[in-house]
Amino acid sequence: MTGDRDLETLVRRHLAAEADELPFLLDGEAVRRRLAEQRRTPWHLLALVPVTAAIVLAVLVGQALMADSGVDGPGGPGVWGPLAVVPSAGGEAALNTGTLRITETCVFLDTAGGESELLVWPADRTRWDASAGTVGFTNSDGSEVNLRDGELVSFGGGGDSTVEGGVSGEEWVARTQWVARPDPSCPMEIRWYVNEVV
Amino acid sequence: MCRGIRCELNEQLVDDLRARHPEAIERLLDEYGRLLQAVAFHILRSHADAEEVVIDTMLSAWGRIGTLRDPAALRPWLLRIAARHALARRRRSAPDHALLEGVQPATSGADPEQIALAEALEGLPPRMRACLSLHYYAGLSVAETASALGISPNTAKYHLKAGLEQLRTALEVEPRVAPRPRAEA
Repeated sequence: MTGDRDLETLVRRHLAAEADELPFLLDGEAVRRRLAEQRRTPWHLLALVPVTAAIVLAVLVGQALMADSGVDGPGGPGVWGPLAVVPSAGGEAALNTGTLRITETCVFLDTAGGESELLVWPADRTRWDASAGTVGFTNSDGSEVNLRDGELVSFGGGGDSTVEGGVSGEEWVARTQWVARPDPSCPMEIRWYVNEVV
Repeated sequence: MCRGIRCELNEQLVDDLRARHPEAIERLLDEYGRLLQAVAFHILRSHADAEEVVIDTMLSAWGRIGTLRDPAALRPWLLRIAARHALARRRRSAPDHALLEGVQPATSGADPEQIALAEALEGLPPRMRACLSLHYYAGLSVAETASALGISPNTAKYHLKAGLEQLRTALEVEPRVAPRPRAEA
């Protein structure tokens, strides 16, 4: 019977041995060449043409629906302050911890991994208190929390990023149906959809 | 607060990347390329795909260096980008791609235990392999591993525990040494 420590040591050694046996053939030239190719040939944008058409249609429909329901559209009355807000929360429940940052134009999370992630809030459970500069949030169990700048927070929810999905911040903003869209100055490479405040 | 030679190197490297010095990519590759290639290989089990992940990671780092606040976090930041690129590539590619390629480092010595481990690793889900590699090879803490993969620390702990259990089972089932045929009298 292999003990936990023995097995961990075995796995460490095995992974290191695999790494040692891998030939490393890359040089900076290969990366620079790919970078130059990316700049020259934005083929990936062509793939976005049918997607963009679908998004434009979805946004038009969404705006029509929001007009009917009285929800603020992009560029609305500003009841959302610096928040980026979508109509409702998703169902994901991954956890993301960091320091909440509330500025005049953006609300984002500074994570332990050293990155700034834009927070996206569901309109049906979020409130912006302009006088206090705080975010009010209702969890799915009905509990209420008020969040302040500089607070250490954990959010349940889900995220995506330019790296993972290949969608730039600008493309993502254009594709998303907003109640209040993020200010263009906000960090948008990584986005986190808030579902719970843990 | 960041101190030491490694920290100073990272700070200089991040400064040069932010200043868009092209030679900084070369230095980033020299410094972290092998590490990133190994983690990508552990996840994808394919040398060719692992190389592509390293290039993708370099391009992402070049494009996104402005989002990295703390140069001391450069290593986990790169590992996070590489792991996510690898998992995204895995989702896009055929599941038996690595098997078709037939690259099997660390089994060339024909040690039965190593072969059993390599085969058992291939049988694990990619996200579980990512957890094992980031934690046991790259040396990230459980919290850093979870953050790198965008999962909760409890989920990362589950993947590590379940991964080890599956590897243990594979090692116990695999005969360590083939039985010798008995000599006829």
